[in-house]
Amino acid sequence: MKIFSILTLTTSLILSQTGIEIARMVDTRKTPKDMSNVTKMVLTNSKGKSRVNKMASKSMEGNKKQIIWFLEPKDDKGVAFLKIEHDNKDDEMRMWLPAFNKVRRISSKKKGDAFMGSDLSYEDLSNRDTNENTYNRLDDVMVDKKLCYVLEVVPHPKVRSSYSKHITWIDKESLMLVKEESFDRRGAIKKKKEFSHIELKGYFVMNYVFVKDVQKNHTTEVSFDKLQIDTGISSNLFQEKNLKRLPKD
Amino acid sequence: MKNLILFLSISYLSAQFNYSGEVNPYVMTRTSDKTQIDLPYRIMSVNLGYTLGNFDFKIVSALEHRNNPSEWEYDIREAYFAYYPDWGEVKVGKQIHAWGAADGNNPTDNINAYDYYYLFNSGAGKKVGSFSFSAKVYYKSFQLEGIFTPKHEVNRFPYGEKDFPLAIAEKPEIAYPVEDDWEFGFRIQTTIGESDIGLSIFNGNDRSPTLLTANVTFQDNIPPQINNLNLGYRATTMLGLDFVTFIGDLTLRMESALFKTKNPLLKLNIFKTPLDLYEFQQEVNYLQSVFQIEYTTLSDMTIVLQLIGNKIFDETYDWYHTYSQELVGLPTINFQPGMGTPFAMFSDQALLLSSSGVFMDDRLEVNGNVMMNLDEKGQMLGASLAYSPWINWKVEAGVTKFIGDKNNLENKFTLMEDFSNTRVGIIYNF
Repeated sequence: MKIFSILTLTTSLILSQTGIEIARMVDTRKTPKDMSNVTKMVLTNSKGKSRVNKMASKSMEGNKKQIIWFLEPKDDKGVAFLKIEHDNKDDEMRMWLPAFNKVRRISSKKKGDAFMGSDLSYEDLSNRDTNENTYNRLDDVMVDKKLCYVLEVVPHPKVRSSYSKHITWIDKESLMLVKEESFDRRGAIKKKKEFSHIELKGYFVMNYVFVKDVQKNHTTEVSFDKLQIDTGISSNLFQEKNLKRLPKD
Repeated sequence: MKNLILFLSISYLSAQFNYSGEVNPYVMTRTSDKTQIDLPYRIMSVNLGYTLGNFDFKIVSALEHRNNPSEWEYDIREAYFAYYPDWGEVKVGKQIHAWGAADGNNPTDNINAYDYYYLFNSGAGKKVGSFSFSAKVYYKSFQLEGIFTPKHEVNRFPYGEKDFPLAIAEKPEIAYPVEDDWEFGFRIQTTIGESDIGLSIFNGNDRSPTLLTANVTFQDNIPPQINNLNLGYRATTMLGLDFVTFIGDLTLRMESALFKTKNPLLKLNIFKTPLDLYEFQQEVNYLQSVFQIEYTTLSDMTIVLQLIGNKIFDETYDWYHTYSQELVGLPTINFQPGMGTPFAMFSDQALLLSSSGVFMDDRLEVNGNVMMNLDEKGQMLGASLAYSPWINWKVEAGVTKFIGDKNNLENKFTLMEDFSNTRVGIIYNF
């Protein structure tokens, strides 16, 4: 019996993944080559007043290349945003401003800036580089009847991040994020995020995000409608010229 | 016929029609005596777009209204076809182009003329569309753009507008229209590291008129008497450099343009030329630069500091008699740039500080700006608020104040003092 227990413990230690291994599993999970959707973003302030933004998005390489066209509110209609993430240098971000007839390069260094006044920052929208964070595995837990890995993600000191750490819950079956808590530089909880996903053409894809800025008592609800994957989007789409052209409905 | 119906059906199904625009009735009132500033106001703009495959057709139009006397004017500001192949974009028609890295003041941006009625507006609204052919090629991290304009466009000045202090009393007669209308521009942009750098060249004609000849009477023992000044447009070549980079939390944008301008050689018919005609031959090199630093605070306020410079560093001129080519000693006139950023008209060196932010979930926009003339006394102060009580609706209010020099009545800011105004309006976007 004693030998059996020791064997079981040893086997589980050998076979159980470390934090970084889980992060890599998440990074390398099967993802669509490209994705399109119409995103609806509902911002609600502490007084319960809501405002709706609507945009069309196309992305590829797991969101490393993304183009977003703003559709609503109407004064933002036609404004578009292009992001191209690079492995060896800072990301490229550009905005098309129709009122100026101009594409404007914007900084990708201030990733803590809010995206369109929402509770999501550019950092929240970017892929997390496994080389720029430390991943500590915590005890697994059940969330909404899903057994989840729990990781403590700490950005390396040299990395420019507006967070000191994240606690991330990952569904063991789909390797999709289920929820996350992010802590500001002082260590106080800043944001609580919840994620939902659906299965589409054999992939798990996110279709809903809820973010609450705990410090501001402000929420952002993001739903992804008209989800389409693997439609054969060309990498040529992610050029400045396409910022000027609203996608077909 | 069947083929035509089939083609039209396919076109209809695969095409997309877009529209957007705004209705923006507003009124500007002098801060001094609370009277309304009587100028045309652009109160509506409509953008229409039709997309079929790789082709677009776009129209940008605007409706202008003047209260006293009541006048309406509808203007097609842009109307062009665009083709977007894999390698780039090609456009033909009336277009407004935008070159340069800085915001609002762009010395390298000279393809279009400016509309001085809307000089204090931001964006494309202060430019005049011109018929042009443009092509842009994207190759790796490079963008190469060429623009050809076959017709010379001039600035729209508020001639004879008593409510615009810098207005010229009446529209001057142009004695020498531009003979060589063709204008060309090329620009190359690339990304180096985390910076964008652009080089440009533009060869064209000035957007505002200048003195080319004068009818002068010379008599013994009295100073020469200038009877008539005859205007035309100088030929100007611009060499430009623009740059944007990021250092820490700061964004740096820089733009510089070297202008080489000279009066054109006039093809005068000497049999019809009056004997008292003297030609003014002027050649000037000047440099305009904008250096911009931008910072976004933790509360999402954007602060922009701009240093605008305009320096003449090489100026030669001669007066000579048209018939005899004999040089004469007539005085020069103050050089005024006919191309470049219109703010050079106000100052040779200015500092612009602006801040903007949105609050209350984008419901409230707050803007503030200060322009300081570093050459001599003069300031422009501005502040505005726009509040959106309902989606797509805004109420806007703003104030602009010019402070000049009481001891210098020729100072542009002194002249503009009476243009200090408050602006109130509503905006509906659709």
